[in-house]
Amino acid sequence: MPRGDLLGSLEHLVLLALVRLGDDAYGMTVRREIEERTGRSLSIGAVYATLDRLETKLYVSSSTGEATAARGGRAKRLFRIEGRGEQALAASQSAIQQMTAGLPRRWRTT
Amino acid sequence: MTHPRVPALPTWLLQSILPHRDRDGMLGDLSEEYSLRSSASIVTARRWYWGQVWRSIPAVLIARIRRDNWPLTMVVALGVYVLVGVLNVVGGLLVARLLGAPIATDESGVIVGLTAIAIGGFVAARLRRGAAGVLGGLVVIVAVVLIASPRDPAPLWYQLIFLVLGPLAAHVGGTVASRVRLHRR
Repeated sequence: MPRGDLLGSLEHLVLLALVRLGDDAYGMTVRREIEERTGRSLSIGAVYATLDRLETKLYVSSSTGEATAARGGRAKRLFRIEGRGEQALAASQSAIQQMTAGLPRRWRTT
Repeated sequence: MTHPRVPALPTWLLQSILPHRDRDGMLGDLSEEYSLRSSASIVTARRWYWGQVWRSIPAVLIARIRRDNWPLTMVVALGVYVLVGVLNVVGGLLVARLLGAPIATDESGVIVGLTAIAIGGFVAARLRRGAAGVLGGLVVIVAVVLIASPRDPAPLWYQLIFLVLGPLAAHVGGTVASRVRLHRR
């Protein structure tokens, strides 16, 4: 895999969150998913900055969702992972698995 | 069911630096979670909201610097800052002639200065998106330098006013320019 295709750690987590959330992936659910699963507290600004960067790389796409009263009448921006994003995520996962293969149990990811 | 209003000041702060395409999504997300958290405790919800906004500001600014052509924005803001200086001098001379008094660092100087910065903010925003914000930053830097400088003849209150209201004036000018742009579309 070329060096330029390697995902940053936050990009990696955000793409995994998009896979987990499916059709319900938007800024706050992505932030919450990462926080609940990893214990890593993120700002919504950091999540959007990462999502925007991934969209520029064509790894994700966004669309406008519903606006509710709880959101102050503001529409959701829904995100979904695209084919290129899936490829980059798979390559990144594979790289981690290959790097951890053969290491003592505590370093293995699965 | 009624939903609590989000704190106005942090919302305004974040809104003023967010790119247009992220505005509804991010502010709506914050509003949604604030609504959920405030049902448990309004104090905790407010603290959470402020924390999210403060922590988001650096990420949003860094993302904008990466995405926009930042050197060009800086050049535009610096050019407009020179224009603000010229406007300030010309305005000061006009006021001095009208009042028949020398140019002074008093209330009239504040009004002329802030008006010049607001006009500068308008021009900067018309020339380049984000340049009004940089102009506000330049005003803050210059005010801090002048406050720290023992040679500056202006009184402290005079510089403090520019430190606080200067960036606000640039922001107001920039906002007016954005509204004009939207109105013309």
